[in-house]
Amino acid sequence: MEHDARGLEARLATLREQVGPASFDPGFSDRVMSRLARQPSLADGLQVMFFRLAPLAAAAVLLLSTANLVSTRSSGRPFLDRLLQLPAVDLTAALTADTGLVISLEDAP
Amino acid sequence: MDRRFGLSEIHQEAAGTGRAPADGELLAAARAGNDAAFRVLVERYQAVVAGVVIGMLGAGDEADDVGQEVFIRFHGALHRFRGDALLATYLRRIALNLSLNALKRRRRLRLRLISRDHATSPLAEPAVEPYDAERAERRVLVRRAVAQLSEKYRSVVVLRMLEGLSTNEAAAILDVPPGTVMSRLARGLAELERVLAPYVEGGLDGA
Repeated sequence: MEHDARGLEARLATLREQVGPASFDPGFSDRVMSRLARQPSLADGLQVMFFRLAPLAAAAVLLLSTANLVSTRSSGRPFLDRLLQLPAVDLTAALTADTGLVISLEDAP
Repeated sequence: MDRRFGLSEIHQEAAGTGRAPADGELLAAARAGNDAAFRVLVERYQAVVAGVVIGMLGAGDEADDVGQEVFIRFHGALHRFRGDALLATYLRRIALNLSLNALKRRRRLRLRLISRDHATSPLAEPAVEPYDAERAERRVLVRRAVAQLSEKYRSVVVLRMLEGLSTNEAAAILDVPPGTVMSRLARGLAELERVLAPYVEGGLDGA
């Protein structure tokens, strides 16, 4: 399609003259600034999220620690340790851990 | 962050020197939380945003709301604006995108309001009123005719005609090749003139 650029510009200029400038109603900047002042900040948003999640986190910690305590008393081993298949924590396990430190009774002073 | 309103140091300095604060100074101050600086930017560029938003949506509460949203979005993106493009171009791009979103919402709302039993086509834009030779009426006439164009042609007509941008500037905002802008403009103008012709005696040149 061949565009008559000058013809287009002339038609544009004519129409633009008819239209005139556009503007918002008076007080527009006041409305923008008021709306901006009502916007929650990032800190506000994080605070809201914290207050929603903190009670849930606290409840979860309380529940798990209670379950651990009860299961340790009844079976000798914490519930979470069994669930996560963690090795038992005792002196022998600590001494033979992957740190490579092995104390032999023969080497002891 | 200090969000108090009031005359900032920049205003005071500018008032003293008789020089209007430059965009860069205002942007830096706005980023630091100076609301007065941001207000100056709003006042400086509201006409630019109005040109696009009112051109796309027509005057009214919706356009005012979208216009406000443009500046709210801009405020949220102050730290991301690197100054690669002119601030006016950047704001026009935001204004165009939000206007197009508003047009989509309008269409969805219309479709929801029309029942399947009765609808054959979406509601038409308001009809162009008869021409009565007053300049203000002519202005309304042309704007309402622009509002009847499809979004594709309306965007180009608004940017090229109402905003007076060059083809390349419009192409950059719309993210299309300049050739596409030219062809859409030609079709958009042809449609505009076809719609307006029955209402304007002697053509649109004011004769």
